[in-house]
Amino acid sequence: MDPFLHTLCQCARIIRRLANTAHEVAVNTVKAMVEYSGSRPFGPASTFKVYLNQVGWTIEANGDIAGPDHFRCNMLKDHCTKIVNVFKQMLTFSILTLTDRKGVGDFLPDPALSIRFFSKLQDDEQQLVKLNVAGGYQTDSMKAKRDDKVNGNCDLCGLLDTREHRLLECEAMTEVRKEWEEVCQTVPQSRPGWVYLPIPRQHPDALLLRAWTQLIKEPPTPDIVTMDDNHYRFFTDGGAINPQIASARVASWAVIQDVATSHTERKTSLDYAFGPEPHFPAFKTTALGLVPGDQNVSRAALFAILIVLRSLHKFAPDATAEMVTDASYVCLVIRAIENRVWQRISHRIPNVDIIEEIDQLWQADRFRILKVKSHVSFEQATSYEDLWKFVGNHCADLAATSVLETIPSDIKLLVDALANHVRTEEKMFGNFLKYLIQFNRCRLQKLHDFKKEQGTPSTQLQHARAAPQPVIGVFDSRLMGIEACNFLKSFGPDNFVPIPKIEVGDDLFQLCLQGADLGKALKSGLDTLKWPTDVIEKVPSDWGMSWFEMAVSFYSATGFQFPVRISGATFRTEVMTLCSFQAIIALPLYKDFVLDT
Amino acid sequence: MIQNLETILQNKLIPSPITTKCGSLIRLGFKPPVAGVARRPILPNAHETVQFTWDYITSLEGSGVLNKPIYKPNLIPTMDIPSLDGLNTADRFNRYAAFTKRLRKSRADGGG
Repeated sequence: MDPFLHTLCQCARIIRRLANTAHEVAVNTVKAMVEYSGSRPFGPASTFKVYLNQVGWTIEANGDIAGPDHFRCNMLKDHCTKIVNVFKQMLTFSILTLTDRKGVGDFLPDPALSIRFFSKLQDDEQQLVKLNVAGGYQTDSMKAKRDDKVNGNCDLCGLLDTREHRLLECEAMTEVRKEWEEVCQTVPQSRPGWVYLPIPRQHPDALLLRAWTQLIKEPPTPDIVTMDDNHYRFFTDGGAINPQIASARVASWAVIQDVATSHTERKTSLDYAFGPEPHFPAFKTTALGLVPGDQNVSRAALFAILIVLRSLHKFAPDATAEMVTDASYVCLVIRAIENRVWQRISHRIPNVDIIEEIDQLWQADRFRILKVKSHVSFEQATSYEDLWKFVGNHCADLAATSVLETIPSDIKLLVDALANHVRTEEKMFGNFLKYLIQFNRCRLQKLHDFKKEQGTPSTQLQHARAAPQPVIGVFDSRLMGIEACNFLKSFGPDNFVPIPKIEVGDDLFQLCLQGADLGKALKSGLDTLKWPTDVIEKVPSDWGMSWFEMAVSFYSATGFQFPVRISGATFRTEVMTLCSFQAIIALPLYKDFVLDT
Repeated sequence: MIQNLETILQNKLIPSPITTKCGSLIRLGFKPPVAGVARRPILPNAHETVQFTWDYITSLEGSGVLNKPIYKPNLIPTMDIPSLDGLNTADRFNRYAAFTKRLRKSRADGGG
């Protein structure tokens, strides 16, 4: 991940987690960010604000961060994954706006599509694409600009070696181009920039749909049919157009009330479900509409439950109710609410705004959520209750689908155009990447063969090296950190011997420039060390021992520290103990001094 | 100082080759290359030395410089080094200068 994006994401994550554990602190941080308008930051909030200014994003008092093209997320409410995804998309736009490179043009990129395709490739295939994008396969015409020895012509055919020539014209690569004829014909016409930088494009009107969905308002609390026994049954469902295509997705919800007052009425009304023109007199559509906020089916299903709870709270506050849904997600959310566990993980789950309100309205002793299988034919019902649920769910599904048919025709056309564009772009981009991979493989092989014939050094495709095999001998190469620390603490292999001890008189230590006591202490300290028998040989797997550890060991055993000269020379030499408090005070540039030492 | 002592004693005190890229501190989490000996000896006080080094590196909080004082409160040395009647700096230097002069002369005469 880009380091700047990583920093932005970390800052946002911290504030989001703070919003969970210390909400007031998070709100105050956001407030400080909003109020700060300077350019010299002095703390975390102002620094984060300056970072946002650098990429041109704005923050609002409610925690909303708004970027280019109607991208938006809320740092206090949205889950971290959504924040990170939105940041990724916004930063891509910001970078491409600032980039001046061939292939980046006046269009909206679709980073999600490129990531989706790229991540599916094998490691070596990714490497081939990466090199192409990052400029790894430099053309000879480019090399010729800075190197007089290069003539700028293609090694394989002799014509001027440009990007277009390589990918679309070079005769030596005809066999690959024949296999990918369609790509080679469509790319120069519709996506000429891909020759330099393959970036899939969004539909030019994609932001219109994004802006339109942000205009969807919350519906007023719908009225419900009053039941005499004060017990209510609702069927809820969500639906979406293009559920697999995020940029062309519009989600809807519906709430159906079971208004039958008795079992007999229910059984009678069920007969109508099997007629030539099925209709359902015992079910009344309470409310339906489009989902405000993110457009996805799970949010729609959850929003429908929220609408039911709002209605019950307003019109039948003491009633009991059953809500039937086909969404497992909704059942899980309700279970999390009843068990009071969702708050702890609220920074990691989506739709927190809805869950929060459901939590306030949900009464576990009066309300019940029931799961029903979705899209099941009525014949599969094994009991009257089953059939009743299937029919109710079917009605809710029909209602939710009908909402999508009432979308304004212009928007409907836009949604269809967006979906078609994504499918076409997906196919075209995928094929181009496959072509690029095969092309690069083939060209590298040809260059290798060509240079082999010429007797010049070849440039074969480099393969990623495997991790080195662990060495497990006296030193285990896999150990790091605390494990290595524990190993070194008890380091004491067999066959280590001290060096032959030589006896010297104390007079000899008087020659030691740093002092007789220190000289004797050092000799005594070094005599206690035990060395491997083959100590002269260099063994790469041996970790060795730093002078620092040697100094620590010496200090620990004798109480002496090594001295360093700080001024004077010969008999006027002044010394001071290295790494002591006195040295830090006496030497103004102690850090540089230690490095030099 | 070790070299100085080896000259005086005319004997090797550290048999291992010296290296400028010692791996032991890297294993303990200190990133920059440091100098040391290429072969690790067994230390008599390995446990407390490594523990002190570990605490020291941890306290650097990612800094790449070993510039904090090496200090242990209430240190009780395990080796008792009897104090010698030390000469002053000038006398030590003069004796050392005379010693090295003798050494050079004997080498020039073809002696050891």
